[in-house]
Amino acid sequence: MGYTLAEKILMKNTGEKHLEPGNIVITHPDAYMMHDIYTSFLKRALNEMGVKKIKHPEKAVMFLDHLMPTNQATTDPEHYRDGIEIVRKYNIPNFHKGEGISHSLMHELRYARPGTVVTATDSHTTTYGGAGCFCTGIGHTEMAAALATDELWMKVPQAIKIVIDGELPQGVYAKDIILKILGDIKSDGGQYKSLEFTGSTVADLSMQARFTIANMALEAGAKCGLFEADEKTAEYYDMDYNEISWIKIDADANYEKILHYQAQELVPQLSCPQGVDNVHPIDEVKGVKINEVYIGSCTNGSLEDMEVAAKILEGKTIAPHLKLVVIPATNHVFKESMKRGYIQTFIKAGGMVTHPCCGLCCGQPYGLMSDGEVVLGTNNRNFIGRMGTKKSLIYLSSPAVAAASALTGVITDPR
Amino acid sequence: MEQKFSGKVWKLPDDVDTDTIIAGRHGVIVDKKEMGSHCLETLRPEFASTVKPGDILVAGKNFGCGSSREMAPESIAVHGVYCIVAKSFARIFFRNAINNGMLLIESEEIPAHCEEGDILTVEVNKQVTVNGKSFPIPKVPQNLFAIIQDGGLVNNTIKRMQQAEKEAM
Amino acid sequence: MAFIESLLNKKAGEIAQLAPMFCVITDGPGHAVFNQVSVPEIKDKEKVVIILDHDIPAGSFASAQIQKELIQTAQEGDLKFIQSKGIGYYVMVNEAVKPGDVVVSCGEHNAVYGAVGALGLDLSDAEMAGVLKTGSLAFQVPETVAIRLTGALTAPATCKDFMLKLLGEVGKDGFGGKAVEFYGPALQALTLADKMTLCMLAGRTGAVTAFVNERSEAVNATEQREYALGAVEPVVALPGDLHTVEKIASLAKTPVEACFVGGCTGGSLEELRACAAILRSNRVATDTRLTIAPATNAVYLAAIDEGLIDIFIDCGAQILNPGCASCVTTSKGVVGDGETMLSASCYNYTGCNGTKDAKVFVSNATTVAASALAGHICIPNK
Repeated sequence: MGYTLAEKILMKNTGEKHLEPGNIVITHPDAYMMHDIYTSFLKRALNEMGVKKIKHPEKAVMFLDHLMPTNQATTDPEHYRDGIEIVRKYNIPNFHKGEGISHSLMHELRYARPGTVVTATDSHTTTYGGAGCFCTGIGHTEMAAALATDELWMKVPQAIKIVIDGELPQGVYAKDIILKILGDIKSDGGQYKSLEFTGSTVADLSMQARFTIANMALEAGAKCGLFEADEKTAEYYDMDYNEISWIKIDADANYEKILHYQAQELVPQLSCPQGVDNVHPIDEVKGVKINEVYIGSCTNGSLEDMEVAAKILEGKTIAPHLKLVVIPATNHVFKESMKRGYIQTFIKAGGMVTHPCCGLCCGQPYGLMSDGEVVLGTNNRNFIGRMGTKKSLIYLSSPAVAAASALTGVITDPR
Repeated sequence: MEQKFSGKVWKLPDDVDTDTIIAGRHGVIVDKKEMGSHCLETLRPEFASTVKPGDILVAGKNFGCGSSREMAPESIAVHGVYCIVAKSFARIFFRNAINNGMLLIESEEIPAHCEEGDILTVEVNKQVTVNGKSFPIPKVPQNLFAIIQDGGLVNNTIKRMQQAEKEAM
Repeated sequence: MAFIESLLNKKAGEIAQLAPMFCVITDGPGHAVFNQVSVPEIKDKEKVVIILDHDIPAGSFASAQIQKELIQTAQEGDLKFIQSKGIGYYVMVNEAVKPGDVVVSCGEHNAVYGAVGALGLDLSDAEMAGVLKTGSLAFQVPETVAIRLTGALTAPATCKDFMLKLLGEVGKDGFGGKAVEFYGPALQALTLADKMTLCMLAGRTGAVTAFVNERSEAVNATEQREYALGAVEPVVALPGDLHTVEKIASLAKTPVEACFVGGCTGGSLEELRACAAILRSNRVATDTRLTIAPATNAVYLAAIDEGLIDIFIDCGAQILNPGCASCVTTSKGVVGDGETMLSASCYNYTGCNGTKDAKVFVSNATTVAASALAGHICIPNK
């Protein structure tokens, strides 16, 4: 009998010989990620539970990324200090302070590995599913308990297989694929489920593109968004493909639903105000006036994303009176983008380039919007008030649409 | 948690996200009471100041979607609200609420049969009665029910750690 | 004749009618001037420059609102508009202001234009409104305090240290109502950024403006002072104002949780280079965070080109886009209760960069860099 990716990885982690949706299993996660939004709360929970030692400090990774640089004086410095305190008290060796966005670093630094189970105090933990890692978010109390016991219960999820075949047209990217899917299945279409991606298009996608899609699987409510492992995965992790070749969907696995997409039919997509699943093809949205463009986030802040945006902006200047904010996802992306001249391109085009962090995506002070203003972002959420006042509007798109729109001041088709 | 309890209904729409329950900039406030004073601020500005302990939230589908912030259920629980009925819950919210000792009831029908201010009676793992009509509700899995009964994951974990220590001795 | 007298062709005490060449309005102080003047009332739109530099990208809803309104005004009047290029003073000095120009703004550091032989004045909102409506400003030519500088600075002391020492000595009103004119043989070795620091901080003595006069050997002034730069030592201004200044030795081991290199007296290319020399192959202390903001895009690009930004990233610093950054802000890089910041900026008043209970010390940029590595205030030993 065949298994889904979620079932296979959970079986591997728990040693169970057979699992099916609805089974409740106790996992022993291979990595625990936590970040500064929750450090103070995590510290409180650990103290309330009387945790003196965590079971596997070497599996824990602490990032200061949402609130670095510190932004709200009344809260952020405390979260920062509590992060350092947790790291010291529990002897956590893996500590990254202001080096970039946790999710991007989790795979860039190879903490989240193919075929493993990873958990984190964040919803976009689904990101590492791009490498066939079963990863899902939890709250800080649960993190405290998991660190203390090295146990985390999981319900084996139902799974939806999403098959994407064919060649992506020029100007259409991974972001457009996932936005299209979100528009179709809606914000609860993957509720509690594992979304598993396969098909010839997926095989052609780069690792970064897979991470983009897995990152936003969460926006359909999914528990995880998983990709099969292939040679690209092995290369990214510098491992032998034979070690991870088992991370494959079985032909006879039990999927609740199978969705099919033809890549060549896709066009650039935008998630419109106010709901990630309010998705429209670019023809229905182009021409909308925008006040700011934000390029970055754990969804689209990779080197490839910087490259796409830089190629469009090279030698040009952004529309007068428009603001452009660019935040590379990690220090590596930042440095490599400087080496290749992308950062210089953004600056010369009239953009503001600031240090790798979560930035405007989570409402930090990197380009907040006022009433009636419109921002086009490459990030993952457009909830009311997330990037400004509750009367500001948020559109989400690929970096290509974002960069092309920055040049014109209105939503623009990059093709 | 009592096996049977009643409370006044606050009716909420579909897709109430965690930013709406507690905005990111308020979610970092460590003091629970102060943080809770911003609960549902944009959607129901009167909520935090007028909600009473024991009130029950009744929402549409996908309640608590969005971020993993546990402050979302915390900012509700801090007001003494320990039961939420919704057509469906977002996954992380579901876990977080249970970890804070809250009872979550998924039901397609109940939200359609009650309005703001109605009195709703819950019989745990059995049924919900409102406006003279009763609706069966699903049983909570045993491992989760233990957490709720312990008043949340903190107490539950302390118990488990003590248990493990005993076994090790 | 003092520099200002020859510039305006009037003697001290006489009234000159000035026709400012540039009226600079930023998202900082003075942004509200358009509540007093509507676009059609502006006499000469060519002379108005709107610059977003204080809180960019917008760090609060209030900043977002201010910037939105300034953008609307700029669009309505087709006014010169500059954003995301860095600190306005630097952008104006580098790209627009010529010797002899008169530049007015509502900031506190317009004396900076004296570094290039222009007259810069700090106006109130009401005065700025008047200039916008009429195109001119009646100005009583001030008396001049002439400061002769001799010798040469010895590292790690900088012009910033000299000025902090002077501010401590003179107090906040010591040169009240005067023009300050720096001259003497020491000027030759100073960079433009040094001269800008001299003029900007001279404004914090109560002086109405300041100049660097490289040509003159003797200035006919009401007050004469002379300083040997060789005697300058690194100093730190204590929290509260720039006028209580201590030698570093007396503050050594004061722990710092936050450090900032940048601002209009700490974010020049020369300063970034000096900091990079200290930070190279080192790591910022675990308990300390360091933010670095180049003063302008030109500095940012040059710093990228020279590999300085790489060095900063590798040492654990965080780079902010050019602008006022963590100098005077309630957003990026703030400090909280019980925390101490050492800043290369020029503000340390209560609450200028976070909560009221946070302390902000001010020093030169290299002192900040060295202290970030040590985790406490210390003298750079390179």
